Amino acid sequence: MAVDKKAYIEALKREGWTVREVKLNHKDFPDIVTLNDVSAGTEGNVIEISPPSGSEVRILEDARFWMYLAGSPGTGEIGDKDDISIRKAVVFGEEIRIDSGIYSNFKQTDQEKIYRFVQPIKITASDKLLIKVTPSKAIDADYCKFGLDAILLSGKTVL
Amino acid sequence: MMDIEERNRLVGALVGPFVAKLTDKYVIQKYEADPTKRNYIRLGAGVVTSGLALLKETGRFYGMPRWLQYMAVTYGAENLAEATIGKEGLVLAEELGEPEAEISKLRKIVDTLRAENARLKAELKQKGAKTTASTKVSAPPAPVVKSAADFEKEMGMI
Repeated sequence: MAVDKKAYIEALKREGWTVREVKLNHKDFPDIVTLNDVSAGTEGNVIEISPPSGSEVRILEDARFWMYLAGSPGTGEIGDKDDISIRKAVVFGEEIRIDSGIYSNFKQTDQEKIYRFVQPIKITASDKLLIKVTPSKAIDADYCKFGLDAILLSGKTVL
Repeated sequence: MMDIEERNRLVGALVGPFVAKLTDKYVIQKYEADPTKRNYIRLGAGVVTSGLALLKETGRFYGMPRWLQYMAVTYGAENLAEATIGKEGLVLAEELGEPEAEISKLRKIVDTLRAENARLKAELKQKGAKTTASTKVSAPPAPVVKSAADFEKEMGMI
């Protein structure tokens, strides 16, 4: 259910968080986002999102998510979206499958290649959001790109 | 279908001073020395401007090329123009091999919207309609104090 984003952010601020709406990506937030190589035919965490201690991440409904997964130059984009799944790993627990298959996780509209999260997700410092893929061709993290609308919480003070 | 004011606001954003500013800042000042890049940059200014306006109005990326979508998500609307028209946007566009057909399509979109804007402006002028946004004032919502956890529960956050 969609909520008033502004009111939600205000509530977070009232509770002592410093709140920033960010475009989460591996380049600007290397301490939060990790891109990994994945071998062909094996399942691997191509993208991991895990905030450092003292920080948290929120992904709201309809958050835009963009990724470009590729191997070495010239091999092209890895396009088999059916092999991609989103899971949340929690400490001392099994991975929670956010939903099955990328098409279930995201709404996709014609004429855009931006996915949108259907499920709002909270990622604390002890959690990890994992984008898993079983690629038909090897993925090289150096050639992958990623961007995501997110809310970054940090520096919570005791009020 | 959008009403005339709404459409005018949308297309007006495409051809206002922003394009002129971008063109001046990036094309004339930065790239005048390199004629091979001028057309591309000039088109980039139009594409970015139209993309931003559409993104702002609709939250969607109609017809935006793949590299531009990436730039939009990565840098945000505020910094998109600079990032796209700057060196990084060009490098990325080349890296992803943006097809000429896509560029032509986008050029057509920008041209169409400019023509539409001119038509709407003329139409409004003829009617003597106000070109500024409506000044309707709605009552402020009643304040409700909820905790962040309340919101998270309400939206089913996991």
